[in-house]
Amino acid sequence: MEALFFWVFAIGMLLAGASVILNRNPVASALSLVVTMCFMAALFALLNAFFLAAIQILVYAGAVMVLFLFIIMLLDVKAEAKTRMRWISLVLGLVLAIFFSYELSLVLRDGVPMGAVPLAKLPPPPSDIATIGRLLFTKYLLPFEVVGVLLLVATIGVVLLSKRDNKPEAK
Amino acid sequence: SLFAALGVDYGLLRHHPLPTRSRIAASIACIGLVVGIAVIIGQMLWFAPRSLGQDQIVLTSLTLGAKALLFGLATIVCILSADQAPNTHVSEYYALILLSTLGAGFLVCTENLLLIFVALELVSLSLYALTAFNKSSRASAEAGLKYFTFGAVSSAFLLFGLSYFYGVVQTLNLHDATLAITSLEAIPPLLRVAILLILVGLGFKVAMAPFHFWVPDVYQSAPTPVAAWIASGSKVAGFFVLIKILQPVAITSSTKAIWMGGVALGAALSLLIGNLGALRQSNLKRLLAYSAVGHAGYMLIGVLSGTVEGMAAVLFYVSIYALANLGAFGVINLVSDRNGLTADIQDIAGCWKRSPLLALLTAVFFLSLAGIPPLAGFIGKFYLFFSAIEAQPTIAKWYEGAYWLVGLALIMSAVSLYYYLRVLKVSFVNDPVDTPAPIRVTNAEWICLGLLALLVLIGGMFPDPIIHFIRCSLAG
Amino acid sequence: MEITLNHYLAVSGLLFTLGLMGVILRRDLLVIYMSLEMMLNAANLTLVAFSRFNQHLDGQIMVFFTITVAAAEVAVGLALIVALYRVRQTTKVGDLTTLKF
Repeated sequence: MEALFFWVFAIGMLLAGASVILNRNPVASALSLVVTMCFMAALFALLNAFFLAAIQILVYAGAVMVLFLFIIMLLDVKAEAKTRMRWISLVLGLVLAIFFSYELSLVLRDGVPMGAVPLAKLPPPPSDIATIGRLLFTKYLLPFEVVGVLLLVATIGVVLLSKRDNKPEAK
Repeated sequence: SLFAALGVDYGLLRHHPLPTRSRIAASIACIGLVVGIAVIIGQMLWFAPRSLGQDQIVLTSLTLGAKALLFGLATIVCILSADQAPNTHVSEYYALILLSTLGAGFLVCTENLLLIFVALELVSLSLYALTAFNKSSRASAEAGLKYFTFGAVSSAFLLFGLSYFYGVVQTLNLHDATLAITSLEAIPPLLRVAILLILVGLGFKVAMAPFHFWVPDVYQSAPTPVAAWIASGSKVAGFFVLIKILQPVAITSSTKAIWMGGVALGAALSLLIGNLGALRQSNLKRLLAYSAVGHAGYMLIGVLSGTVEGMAAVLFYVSIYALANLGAFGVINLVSDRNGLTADIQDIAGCWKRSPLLALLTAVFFLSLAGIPPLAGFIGKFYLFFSAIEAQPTIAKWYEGAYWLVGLALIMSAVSLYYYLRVLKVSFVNDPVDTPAPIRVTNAEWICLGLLALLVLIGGMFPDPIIHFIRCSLAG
Repeated sequence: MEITLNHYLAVSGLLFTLGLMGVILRRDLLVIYMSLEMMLNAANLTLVAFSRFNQHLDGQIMVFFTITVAAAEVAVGLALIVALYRVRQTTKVGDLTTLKF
């Protein structure tokens, strides 16, 4: 039963991911990215990371994608004309994809030290909010501070880059 | 010490009239950084090396030394950018430089994969914003975008590699990772893919060849002090992280085989592209950009040796390279940016006649980059090649040890000599262009350029104390 | 049949490759950033899968930090696009060629 869920979510996610790339209209690809993230959150739930699934939906699907849609609307990006596929990048992309999937198949064939252990038998780690919160503020306090500073840098950067200079811009 | 510098940072965000603002902001930033260095020296002397924050920060003498070096580089960058602020947002400019120093400081002295990733992102985000700083010019916005796209893709690779690495090693701490890897009997293919991905991610940061496309554009269009900071500060931090991550894998020869091929290929490519690319550059900053790619090749030879000796050689070389490069960018800043030129090779023409001392300083910096005996560059290169060969003296097939790489490096450094001397020829022999703008140099800049030249000379004359310091702290 | 760690690795590997293909093949900057987000998400999935199979929470904590980092990155990236759009009225990669070789 539980395997069925996994296959549904995994296949759904990969299809949505593929549609992000193949879509002509950027708004459609943005929405299919939101669908990918929802399927991803479902997979997280399957892996007993319930709090993380909620965060993934709230933060990623909610905030980041809204930002994308906002920017798409702001710049009114038109759907891409049917351009001739640039052959060099197509070939390069295919070569890289083949190389990459070969590496991955290499990994999966030999498996991981304990890759073959089915999920059901493993006792789930305690992943409720209390333990995550406690861990976050004891063991990982320092990265927490650094991420705060990182967000400060992001805000400074954004304000800096997008603020219209008060003096009339030299056109 | 980091938070002291950060405290200064907030002090900066007051708004003053533009010309004085920039000088005041620069002076505040420098005071903060100098206080930072003082606190670091204090930490080094009195506190025994220990780790705080649940083994996320390891304060060994090596990491503190590296942090002091980074802070010093940042101080000089602040002085260089003191009296020509790109545009009205002066305080943000210094705030971003201080924050990227903070990130580099964390990056250098951490052992935790998570903090490495976050600090690396902190450094790169502030650099993306700084590159696209003067919005009016079309080139800098485009360079910032190109730098961002390449950087973001490479950090995605790095994160993916780290997640595989975490999978194999099951701990985020690099120190325990070494124990876990040695206890592994067979090398799971996952580790090979993990190291490959991490190499791709970090290869971008240190401008290794296959991932160097952003280097010329960003160096050319970013404001010169920012380009100087990218060339020196972020490269030092990048090589530190590369060595720190490769350490757990560099012990048993079987694990070493994983990343040997990749690094050797990267080194050879960087040498070729870097030096050959620089040959036909007419723009000074693009020339320095290609020389940066070339120097990444030299350093990767040191990394290739995998021994503590090799690692110490790389750290020594990267610090000397950072000093010389910063000096070179400082001179370019004075000669061309100050008078609004675009760092073409002709800007430096007749520098000997215009201000002889500056020409002498340029000679010291460029010759050290080329690796001429009395200067530190030569010692660095010699020590690098020596440790690379010594790591595997006897070889069966020609491509076994580092012999073919060292040979290639020697040929390439001869090529590099050509384009460095071309710059010096233009600055010494050619008479100045018809209306040479006067080269205004504030006394603060004289001091720091002189200091840099002095350090490069001292590093060349008696390098033993520095090498000894690095080797014992690395081994310790 | 039972779901093992390999399944999760395969799925996230495929997602990463999809993202990589998107970054290389598409011409529009916005779509490149979206496929970039997909690559970061794939890394998150491997982290959660490994933390689930290795029985401790470090992986999930790391995912928290990667989400914040990705959000900050997207913010700066989109600000750069806006800044560039104000200078040049295009987001197509093909037109950004002022910085010649």
